[in-house]
Amino acid sequence: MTVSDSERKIQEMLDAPSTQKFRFRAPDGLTIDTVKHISKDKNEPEWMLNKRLQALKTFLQKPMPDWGPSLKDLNLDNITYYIKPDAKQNSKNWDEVPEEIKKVYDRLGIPKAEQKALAGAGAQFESEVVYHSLKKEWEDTGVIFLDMDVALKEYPEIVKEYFSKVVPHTLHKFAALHYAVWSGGTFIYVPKGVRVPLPLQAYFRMNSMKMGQFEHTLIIVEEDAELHYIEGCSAPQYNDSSLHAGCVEIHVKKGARVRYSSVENWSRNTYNLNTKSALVDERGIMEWVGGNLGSGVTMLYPSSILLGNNSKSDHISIAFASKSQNQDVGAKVYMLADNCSATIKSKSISLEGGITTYRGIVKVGSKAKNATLNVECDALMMDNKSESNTYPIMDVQNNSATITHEATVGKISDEQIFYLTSRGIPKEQAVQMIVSGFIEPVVKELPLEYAVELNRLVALEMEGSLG
Amino acid sequence: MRPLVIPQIKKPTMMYGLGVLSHLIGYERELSEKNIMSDMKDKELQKLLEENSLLSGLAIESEILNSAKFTELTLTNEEKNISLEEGESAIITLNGRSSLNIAIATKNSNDNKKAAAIIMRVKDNSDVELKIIYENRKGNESDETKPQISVEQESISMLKMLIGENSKVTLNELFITNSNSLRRTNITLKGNGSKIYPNHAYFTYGNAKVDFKSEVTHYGENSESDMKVKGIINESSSVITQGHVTIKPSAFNSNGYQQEDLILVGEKSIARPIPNLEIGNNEVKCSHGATVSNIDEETLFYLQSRGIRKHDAISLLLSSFLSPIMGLFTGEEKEKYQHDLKIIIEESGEIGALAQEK
Repeated sequence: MTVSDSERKIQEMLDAPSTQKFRFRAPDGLTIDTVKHISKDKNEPEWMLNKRLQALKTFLQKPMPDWGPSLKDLNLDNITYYIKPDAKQNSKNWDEVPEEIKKVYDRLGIPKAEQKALAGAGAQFESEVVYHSLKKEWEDTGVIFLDMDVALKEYPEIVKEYFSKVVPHTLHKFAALHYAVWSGGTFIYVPKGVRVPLPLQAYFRMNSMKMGQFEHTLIIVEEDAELHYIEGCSAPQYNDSSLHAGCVEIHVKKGARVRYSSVENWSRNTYNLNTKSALVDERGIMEWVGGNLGSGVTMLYPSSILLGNNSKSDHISIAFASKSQNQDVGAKVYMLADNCSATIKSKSISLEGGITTYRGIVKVGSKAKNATLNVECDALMMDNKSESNTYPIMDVQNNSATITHEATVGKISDEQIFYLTSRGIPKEQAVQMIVSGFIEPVVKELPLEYAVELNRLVALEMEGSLG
Repeated sequence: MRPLVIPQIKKPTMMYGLGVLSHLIGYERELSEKNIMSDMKDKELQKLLEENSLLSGLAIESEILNSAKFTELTLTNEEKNISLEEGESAIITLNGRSSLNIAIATKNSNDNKKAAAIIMRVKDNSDVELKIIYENRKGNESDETKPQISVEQESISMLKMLIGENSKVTLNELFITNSNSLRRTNITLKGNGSKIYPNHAYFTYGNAKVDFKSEVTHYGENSESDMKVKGIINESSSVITQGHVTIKPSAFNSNGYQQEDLILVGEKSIARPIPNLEIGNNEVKCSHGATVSNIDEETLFYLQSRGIRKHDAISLLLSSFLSPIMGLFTGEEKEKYQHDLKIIIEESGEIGALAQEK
């Protein structure tokens, strides 16, 4: 796996800022007027405005987290909380999307992938979704795949019933912030018994400087239905820091199965403080697949709340931290019913002074019988400047539980490199091969294009950094 | 590298990082706040957190050290047994091939918040074997009824150790408690080739709430640590076990391992293992593991099928679980504690109930 010039060019283009016109750009900083303006602009029902104001109040009351990576460089008054791009909302056709914006997504390969391998796709630019489409065969089965703003207008009852039920706005400061200023995101509803074999995809792009993106994703998968949803994220490189505080809520009903995959490749100046959570009912299966590469600081702990008997959750993730990056990622599993099982597999690579941390919490409730859980964390450290930490917490309150946790930290062994170089492979390529092998268990769970992208990104990041 | 110096004892300042780690506090706050868990009416967790904060919110260590009676001791190529009472402390310097047995007993004490602190310095090129037996058993032993323990009673014990160049220390510790206890072990591997092998075994019963933490910090090159924690959590006791291995950037070619194995025996017993690793250097080999489980049904069945009573089989399995550490004790001591353990196991209402279950 080597990095070709064209691949490098793609990355440069992704990092390059582009000039865009806006229909509206809220003033920097968060005020009650901004929140009211967003709500009025979207023509929201009153309960949503109340929710936003309630969340704003909570946000102002809550302290900043005093654990984990330092957030002292994040100036919340310097962030633009709402930007409306100069484009028609929710175009059904790529031709209706303004040329400039379309170019960005073309580079990312979204329209191409949509034709080939997806059942539907959405694209969010700044605070609004500019493109959204679902293939007709799936529309006919009753699957709803919409922009969250539109869903609130078209299906107010469903949204009201499920909105904010998995992640309450009181969870932490940034969840409160999210609920105060959320805009855009994806709404998916899969009716009973419907299986969507092709993945649905959404791509989020922050293009402006000092931008804050707060998309809300709500997924409801009814009994015995099946869904695979993919999210991709990126942002260009600026001097000022930007903030991403999205929220993902997933309802997995009886016997349903959901797979949520995401590759987050924000720019180095982005604070990625995301909240993702799923409620899993009886026999439901929730699978989280995640890759965290770009952002300067990431705090992301996807959580599964296993509420029904025999429910199951899988967490697979990879974190990659290079120079000046702090990837604080992990998983949370709450087992509150009988015969629940879960696995967490976390891999991390740190180099050039990057910090990777696995931080997780696992709780077995006192009435949850026969819970089984297996946690595996593997960390690879490429040099001496880097840091790798593991902070797991297990809270077991039932004596029929079987919980195991394992973690290893190490570097690439000289023997492995020697073996490969003795077979005529250049050293740099040998290292990349070993790294590819190390992340393979995660990569193989991703759809092909994302797997290729992840490998490409890792190769790009590591290029020239190996002595 | 800045030389490490143990502060003078006479007027001690905050020496021990008591209280849980800041990230843990973060988690607890996150959990204890009115969040999704309370939305789901899971009040138990909140209750547990409130109860545990009883132990983590201690800020009295300087008070303890100020009021403590100190014993000073220097051992060079010799063997010694010492015993410490509650509220007593010791400063020990070890040299050459020495072995030291320490018994700390806080039996039948009704005072609150007393502590025993040991500060130990192991000189360069030493080979030291340590055995510590720490008992915190409240209530009158002769009283046949179960001891009535008030929740406020707690005892604190600490061990701080500094290990010099090319020194090897084996630390075997047995910890039996039925009341609220806080135990801190803090080991610093200072020099090139310092080695520590801490083996912690504990047995908790009654309504004990135990906050247990063992920390190893590697500064020296080629240093090595292998921590083993084995715990049996019985009746309604709840235990936080933190193992914390830190490898500083200066500690090249170091190995740090830790393994925590816990058995939850009681219906109401709670285990919270927190095995942490902080690695600041890539020339290391580090791993940690943790398991929580119950007594293996199959093994139990096998023993029963050979005609061993269920009651005896359970007692046998639990003793064998601790035996890697119990086995390191010899002679009278071993007999005494194995006998004690057996009695505790047999008297334990939970195990009795377990045996009668089927």
